[in-house]
Amino acid sequence: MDKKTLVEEQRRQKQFVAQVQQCDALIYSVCRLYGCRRDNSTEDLYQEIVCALWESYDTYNGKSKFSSWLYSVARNTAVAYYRRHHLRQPEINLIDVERDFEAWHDTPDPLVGELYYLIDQLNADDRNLMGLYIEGYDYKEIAQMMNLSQQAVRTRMSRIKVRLKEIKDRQK
Amino acid sequence: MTDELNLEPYRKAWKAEKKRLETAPPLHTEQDILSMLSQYSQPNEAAPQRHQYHRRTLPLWLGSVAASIAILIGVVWMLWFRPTAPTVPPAIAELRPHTTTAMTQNTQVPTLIPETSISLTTPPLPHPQARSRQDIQETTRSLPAGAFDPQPLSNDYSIPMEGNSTKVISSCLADAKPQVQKSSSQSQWQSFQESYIADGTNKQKALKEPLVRTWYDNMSFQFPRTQVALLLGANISPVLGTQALGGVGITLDSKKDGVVCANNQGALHLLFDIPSLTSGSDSLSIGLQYGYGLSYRPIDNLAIRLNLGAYLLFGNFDLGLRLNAEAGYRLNEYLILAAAYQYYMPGIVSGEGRHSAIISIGYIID
Repeated sequence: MDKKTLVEEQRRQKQFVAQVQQCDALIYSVCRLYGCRRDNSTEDLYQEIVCALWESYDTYNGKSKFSSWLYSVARNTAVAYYRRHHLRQPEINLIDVERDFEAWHDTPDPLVGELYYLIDQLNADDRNLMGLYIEGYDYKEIAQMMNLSQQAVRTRMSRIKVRLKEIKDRQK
Repeated sequence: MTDELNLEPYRKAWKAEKKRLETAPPLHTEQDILSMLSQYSQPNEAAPQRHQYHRRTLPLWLGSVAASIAILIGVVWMLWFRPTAPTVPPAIAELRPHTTTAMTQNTQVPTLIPETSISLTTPPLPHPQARSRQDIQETTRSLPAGAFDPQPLSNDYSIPMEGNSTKVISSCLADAKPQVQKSSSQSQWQSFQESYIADGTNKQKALKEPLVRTWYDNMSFQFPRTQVALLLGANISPVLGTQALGGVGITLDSKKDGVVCANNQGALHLLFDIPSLTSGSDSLSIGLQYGYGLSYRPIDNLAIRLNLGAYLLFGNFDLGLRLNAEAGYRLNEYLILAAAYQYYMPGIVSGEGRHSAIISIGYIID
């Protein structure tokens, strides 16, 4: 690598780091919403997302907001990460339920803490669907993004809501 | 619905939280991020976690490899120990006790000498030395004139339909009747009866096993060969996005050994789905099914099939439809090609899509 290329690469990397740093908390939110579990895998996932962003940085053309592009890449990385490492549905233990519920309540809004906790009980596909729903997408948009039929999305969401209701009732 | 959790408050809370996070101060310094990137560019030193993850999936890998080796050994074992000749069908086997020739178990078309040929011999005479010449002359004199005139020989070798012979014919016909009635008209069945039962001159023919055998053979080829299998399985090996479904099922095969019959078989099937082709459980999948029958002739029921399927979701029942094209090979028989519909019902076993029950209905082309 000649000197000119090296300088250009360093400049590009510096720009990337600055942009990522601006969206740092946003990456964390993706980690929590889509990828992380109650174990300490947030840092792992954060690193994975940063690496994925850097790997696909060339594809960012600057037409959209950097945060939007970042969010999209981060979400896909988080879902893939979760699917790779947490395929199995957790066995819900009542003692764990109480302890984890408290542990998730480290957010300013307790409702958000509760949301993290509830999402943590879902499997990879349901977590992805739930995340998109919570972000405000409607069934049609979710169906397009997940390559499913609207009816399938509706059915799954209904099932998720029933399951979450059960978990919440149990927590009470 | 009262049974569902209302998510609207969470949506609103998340919207506010996201806005807050977008403007929140960064948790990582510039140096932290650069450090992460440098680890990424130096894979040997970086990401020790990744090695840990590989360790986590190692038992799953080992399980998959072990299962594959076991299947391979099973196939080789089957090939090595395949029998040299098919077993005689049950209906034909019933004839065996009435044969006079020594048959081996593996004789495909045994040569039968019906016991009727033995009973056609003349009535037993007393030993020549037991009667004196005078006695014979006296007996002859007492007979009416013409008693020793030559009689025209009859082709009628008929014997009374009684004893074992009747049982054999009845048994054969009882087995054959429903099949003949299915495959041909009532009149054909009647003519079959007439030619082999009602017409006394052909009674012996009816006892000739090859003829009956021909009927069975002809009948069996008039039916489409169908298979119905019920599989219950669970996700046993999630490796690199590939799911394996293993299960035990029951297979009903309409044809076996040249005789139309239904029999139960145990079967072991592995189905590999590739959810990454689309997303999650609602996915295109490529499957490998290994079926092994556990009936009395297991070797013939070994089938290895390749499935290509697509899965759809219908309504609240999570009823899936999987269209499969199967190609397989049956040892000791013929290449089979089958198209099968499989109903994929993950909701029945558990809420997760990867756990499933499959009912497969296949048609095997001989």
